[in-house]
Amino acid sequence: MIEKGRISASQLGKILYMAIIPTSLLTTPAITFKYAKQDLWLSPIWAISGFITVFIVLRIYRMYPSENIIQIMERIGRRIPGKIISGIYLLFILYVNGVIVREYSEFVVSSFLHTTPIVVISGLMVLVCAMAVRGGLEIVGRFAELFLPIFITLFLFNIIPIIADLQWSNLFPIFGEGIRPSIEGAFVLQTWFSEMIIASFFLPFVADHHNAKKTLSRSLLAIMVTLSVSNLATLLLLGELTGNYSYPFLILARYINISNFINHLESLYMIIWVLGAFVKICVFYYVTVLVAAQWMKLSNYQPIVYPLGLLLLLFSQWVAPNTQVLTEAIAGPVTLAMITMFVIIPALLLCIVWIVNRLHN
Amino acid sequence: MKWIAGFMIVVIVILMVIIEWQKMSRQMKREKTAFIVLVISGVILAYLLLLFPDVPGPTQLIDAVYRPITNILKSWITER
Repeated sequence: MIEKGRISASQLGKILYMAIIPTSLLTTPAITFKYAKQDLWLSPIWAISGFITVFIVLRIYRMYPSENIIQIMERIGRRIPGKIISGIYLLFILYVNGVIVREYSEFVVSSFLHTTPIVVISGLMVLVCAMAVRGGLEIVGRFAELFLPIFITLFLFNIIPIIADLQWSNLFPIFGEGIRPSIEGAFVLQTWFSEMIIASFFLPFVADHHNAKKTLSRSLLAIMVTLSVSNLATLLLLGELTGNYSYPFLILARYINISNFINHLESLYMIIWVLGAFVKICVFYYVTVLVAAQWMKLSNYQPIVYPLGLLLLLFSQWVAPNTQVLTEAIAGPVTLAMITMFVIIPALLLCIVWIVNRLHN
Repeated sequence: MKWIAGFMIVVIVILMVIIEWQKMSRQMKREKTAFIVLVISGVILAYLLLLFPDVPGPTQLIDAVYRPITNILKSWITER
């Protein structure tokens, strides 16, 4: 096997949490608010694609405990069609990671380092991530484990000081226009919930596999709660203004003012963002490297880490000319593409595997 | 500015090759081939993006593929 490291099930849960939350925390309040208005805190509950993905991953894992979905696709599709499908997946995961790197650097440039070229910020992040990924799976797992408590502490530190200023009247009317707005707002959120599919790439390396089911459902639940809380806090503080900002959660951090002594806490949010984005990029980078190495049937993935990093950096520049185009793409075609690639095709794969197994018996 | 970027690409690639090449042993033929192919495609993409920044990207491809479904969804989902 290409990867010799092992992680524990709880590390897997932390990896998943840290791989999904950071970018969604940043942008979801604004995007969801457009469609769901005051019901935006209910939208994360409609995590349909998350549930489906977790179900598929666990079912496939039970049948083939030592392989990820792309290896199974390659096996089912035989030689050439299998290689083509897994090649498309490889490019798509690289593309998704490019989008993540771009989101990270766009945020840093637009909110903090206004005059730094965007390539420098993405390049440094990719370089640091490349070093971590070269260290292997265990390093990535430990980074997730190490940063999760810091992440959650700082997240709470952003929410607790503003509790006194929350206006609960912003919450009403709940279901003012029925249940539909909250479901429509949940559409874009499926981008993040469908990312649960990356569990499939880590499950073969989990040492205590009987805990897998528990840890996956727990992290999905934790993601839903975190998103709900952050959306709720944004709504209660900003009300109708939520839709006017591109990064509403940052406004929360800027708002904090404890007796005129502690303020300008957006630097705390910056820490959350850099730590979270680091783990998130690492996780997707690792998946890209693993899939690429398996696709080319290499015995060791370490040599291709840096070349793929260069490609990742270039993709991050290539995905969109500016933030507006990027946000618009995420709200529409990219969400659809991710639902297709990470939910619908794996669901079809599960059906095929199930039928093939039935025929063999 | 462009020539600085072009120069930086060369520096990065040379550094990458120097660092990685000595770490690979003689038996790792497959890895070496994969490494070279990836580096070359990276260099080609880098200069392509440097010389023609407006070259259509993957986002346009995805947008074109999903255009019909996006239009249907837009008629269902409305901004309030």
